[in-house]
Amino acid sequence: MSIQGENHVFDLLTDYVLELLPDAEASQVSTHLAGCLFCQAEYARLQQVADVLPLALSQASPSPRVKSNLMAAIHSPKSQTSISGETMSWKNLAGIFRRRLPALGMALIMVLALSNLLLWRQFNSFNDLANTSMQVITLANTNEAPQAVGTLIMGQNGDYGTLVVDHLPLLDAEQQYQVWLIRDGQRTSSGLFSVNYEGYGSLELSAPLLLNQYDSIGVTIEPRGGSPGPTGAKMLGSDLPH
Amino acid sequence: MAMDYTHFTDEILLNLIASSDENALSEFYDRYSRLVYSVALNTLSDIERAEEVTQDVFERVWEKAQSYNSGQGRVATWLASIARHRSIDLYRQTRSRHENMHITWQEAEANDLPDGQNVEWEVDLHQRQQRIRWMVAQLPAEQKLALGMAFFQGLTHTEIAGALNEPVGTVKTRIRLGMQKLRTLLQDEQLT
Repeated sequence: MSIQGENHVFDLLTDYVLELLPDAEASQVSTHLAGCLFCQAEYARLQQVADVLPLALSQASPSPRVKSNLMAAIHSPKSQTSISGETMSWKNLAGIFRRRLPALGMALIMVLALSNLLLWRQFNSFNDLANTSMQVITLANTNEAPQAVGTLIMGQNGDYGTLVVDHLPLLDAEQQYQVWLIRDGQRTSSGLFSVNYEGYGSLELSAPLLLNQYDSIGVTIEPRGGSPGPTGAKMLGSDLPH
Repeated sequence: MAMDYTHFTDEILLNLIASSDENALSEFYDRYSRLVYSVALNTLSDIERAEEVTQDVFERVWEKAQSYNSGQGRVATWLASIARHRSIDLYRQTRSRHENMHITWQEAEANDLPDGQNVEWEVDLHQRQQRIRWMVAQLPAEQKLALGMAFFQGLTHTEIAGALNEPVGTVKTRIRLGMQKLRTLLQDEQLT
């Protein structure tokens, strides 16, 4: 097939996506894809089809013993070193914020183009991000929200932080939660967030200074859009490490 | 107060799993075991081996959860791909004993929600399934069959042609037309 005088591989892309091509032809297609925007776009569309095909299958449930066997099997050296309980679970959330989203656009197309072939290899190439230094600060709840849980995941240098909350009351449409950073008694707004009906929400904090230059953090209820200074009930709070 | 895992996103669960949180794996399994098992069962047509693949896939998730990259697509896509490749590998080892020419595509149904708490991820997954099932239902039966044999069982054109007693060219055409039709429907629906 040819477009604008170029030789394309549209006719082979379906078989390529379905991994039906012999190795030699698959290699040729891969080479062509690396330099052809037309075919990359078509490949991405076909790959999307392949990606969702499993969702069309009739769903069946494995027997309960599979889960039992799985949970028994994972008691390997890895699980033996784990710390069970709520505190560790929240600490584990730190990993969420170590991820780096892949580049969009062309990079995404290329990833799509290669992912089918590389998936298994990628799956086995464990990239341990757990060594990144993080601080996890548990915020104390107040009588206003005795069931609320708040955790701040903060870079070791205080250069970034994300607040994750759970079990905070769902606010009406005219209200939001506002995060305050306090330094020498002066409160600086660090952002607004809402929670879902289960009280779950998160916010990436913004601040003019490094987070570890503040003394403490607090969360209050404020009118939608925020207030210049806290006016509502305090729901969560904690001192910050320097 | 204990955390409620049911409303955590897939990515949060995977990060918790990467840090050896068994409760997260339990929730993740509850969320996706049916999908993984269904892919394996359609490839292998063998309950016992499909369950083996299911357990194996989630053990690998436990060991390698950090390797998930959102650039590879949704978690369901990632898991299904792993399950499919594992199942096809197993199928190819023993296919002579388990010839399978039946793919159980789910018929598009009324928009009922699954049992459970109907949290956001569950509703989203169910809606995507419903839409994909509707699209697949638009294909002629022979296209669905050929496509399913190629995709889920990893059979070549020649093998499919032999199993169906059809010319290779006919099989190729059916697969290509089926994929193109789904691609068009998918684009129209802006599903992904």
